[in-house]
Amino acid sequence: MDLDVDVPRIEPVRSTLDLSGGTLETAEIRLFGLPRGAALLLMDEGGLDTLAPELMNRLAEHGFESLAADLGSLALEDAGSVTAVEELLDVLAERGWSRDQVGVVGYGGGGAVALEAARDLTLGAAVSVSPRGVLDVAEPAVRSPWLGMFGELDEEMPLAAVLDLESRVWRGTEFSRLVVYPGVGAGFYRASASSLDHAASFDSWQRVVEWLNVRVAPRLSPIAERWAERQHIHQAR
Amino acid sequence: MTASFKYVDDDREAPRFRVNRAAMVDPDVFARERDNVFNKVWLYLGHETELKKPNDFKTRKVAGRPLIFAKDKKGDIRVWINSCPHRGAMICREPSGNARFMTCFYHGWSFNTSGELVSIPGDQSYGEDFERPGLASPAHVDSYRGFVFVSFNPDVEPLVDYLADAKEYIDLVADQSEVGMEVLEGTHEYSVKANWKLLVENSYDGYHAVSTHQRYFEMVMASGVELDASKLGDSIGVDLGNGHAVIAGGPSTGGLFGRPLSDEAKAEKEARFDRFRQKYGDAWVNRMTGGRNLVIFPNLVIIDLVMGVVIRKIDPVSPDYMEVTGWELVPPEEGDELKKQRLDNFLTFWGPGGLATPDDVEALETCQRSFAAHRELEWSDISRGMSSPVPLGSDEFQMRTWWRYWDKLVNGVEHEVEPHEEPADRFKGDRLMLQEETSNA
Repeated sequence: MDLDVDVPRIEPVRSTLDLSGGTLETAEIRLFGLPRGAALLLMDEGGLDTLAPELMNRLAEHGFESLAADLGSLALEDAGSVTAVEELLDVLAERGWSRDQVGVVGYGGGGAVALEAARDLTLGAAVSVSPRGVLDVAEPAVRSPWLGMFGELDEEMPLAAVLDLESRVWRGTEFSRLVVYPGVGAGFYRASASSLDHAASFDSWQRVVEWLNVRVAPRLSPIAERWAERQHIHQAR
Repeated sequence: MTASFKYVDDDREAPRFRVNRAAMVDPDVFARERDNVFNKVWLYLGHETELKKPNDFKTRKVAGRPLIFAKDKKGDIRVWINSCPHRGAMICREPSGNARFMTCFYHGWSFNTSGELVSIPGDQSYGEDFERPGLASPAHVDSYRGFVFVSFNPDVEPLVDYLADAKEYIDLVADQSEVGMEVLEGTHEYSVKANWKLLVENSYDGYHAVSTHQRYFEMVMASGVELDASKLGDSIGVDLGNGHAVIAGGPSTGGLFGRPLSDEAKAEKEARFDRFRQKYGDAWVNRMTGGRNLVIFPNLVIIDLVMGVVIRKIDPVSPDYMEVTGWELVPPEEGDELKKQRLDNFLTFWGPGGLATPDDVEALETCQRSFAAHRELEWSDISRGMSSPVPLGSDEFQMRTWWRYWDKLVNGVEHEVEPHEEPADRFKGDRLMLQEETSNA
């Protein structure tokens, strides 16, 4: 996923977090000024060294701070996954991000965790990109808006399974959408010389950004916060 | 205001009812319609079931205004003027979608689906006391049985009063589902080079069916239906007040149109209506089984015919051009076979690809072209059935009802009610509540 243009690059800050389920490797990009929102990236093992830095820089271009976590080091069962996400959201909360100001984006195994988080938590938005093990997610009706993206040739997710998942997710209270890219496999989101892969990679990234942009609550400016406070007081009278 | 020019000639002695064709071509009439009709009464916007999830939205045009028809985060229906209060650009340029926040692409002001302004880029330049404007909305928004209306008139009467007796005919449609009637995804959108009032007339013109839609009836008969033309007479025109009117079909008209149902579909349909009988009583359900062509003044059409309920919104654009949007309203609990046949019957009749709608469009466009000679041939005649004891569906009573109300609003001319006998009992059965409501409609 190389950038086509030469723009300043931010090196994510790496650290280790002790969560209740174990120790987790993380990377973080913080922004100055008034960031648009925050993104929590859930990556497979090694993802912090390969995919995450590029994704985090791209999110920064759209005004999103980001915290990326390598879930590979944790043996996460269903409930444990969501607990880990909640603990990561707590880290973002220390930076002032409420849950509706956060978009959770999971890749591969992290995609299934993102769906579980969308099922159990009220978030700004959630996205699963080529999720692994997503069919094992029990009762996936979502309470946060969720976007799932799949490759047509992904053997783990035949079209019938995607359609079945779509109807089960739709039972939730919030909006959801599933997208299947034709002629590509599970790695469709990575850059490739193949035209179908390239199209899927480009389109899927556009969808991630748009999904977050129209759903993640913006952080209020200090002036807007004071104005909202005055409105609240005025309405209470 | 009373116009000196006579647009409606309502001669009860002759009897004769005529409409001056200038009403179809005159830009001044068009402007008065905008002021005295579309800026004054309730206008249809959309159906609640089009918005399924929180933050779903549709963009629509009503009375020339661009609107956002949305369900907010809490699930409440909201309607906004689709214009940024900053400098006017459209907030939302998509026909539909789901978004909690909508950002104006011109200067980046962002609003939520509750209409609140949530962010302004560089807002420190506006200062601490700047009044942050939210999205504007029409003066009134209200709904009846899922049909959402707006009015731009702050002093408009309540919707339930405005709908008058038309409510009963909306009920006859809305009761046809055990879980609530639902608009199917997708729309028919087409335009007609004709005055919008011609399509209003056409939408409950029982007289034209056989002559204009001969091709459709030939297709139906070729599919094995023995068409009993006498059933066409089992319908009446009814004045519902406030310019609303309907062609109400008797029970025999329910299966009049459309290709025959399969045995499986027929059995399911009968079983469903048996359940309705237990719930609402025979008299009401007998009325439900008949067809109906309803026009809610000025431009909402609900036609329950050919196995499908079409909702049609007619938007005047200029005196000789209109845009039309059509939706299909269905009971979502139907089985696959019945649903398949409903869709087939709907699509073979309605819409730009149907066997009937293009005929109507052609008829209306030739009318409009001929109105270039409105000075030489001034009047269109809409007298059919004035002498009938009870006006039939193939008469033109329902159109006269509409035109009289139009003349009142547009030209300030009052007309007496056209007297007729009471319709037969089979057109008047009441809706009973024999069982508890389970519907969320």
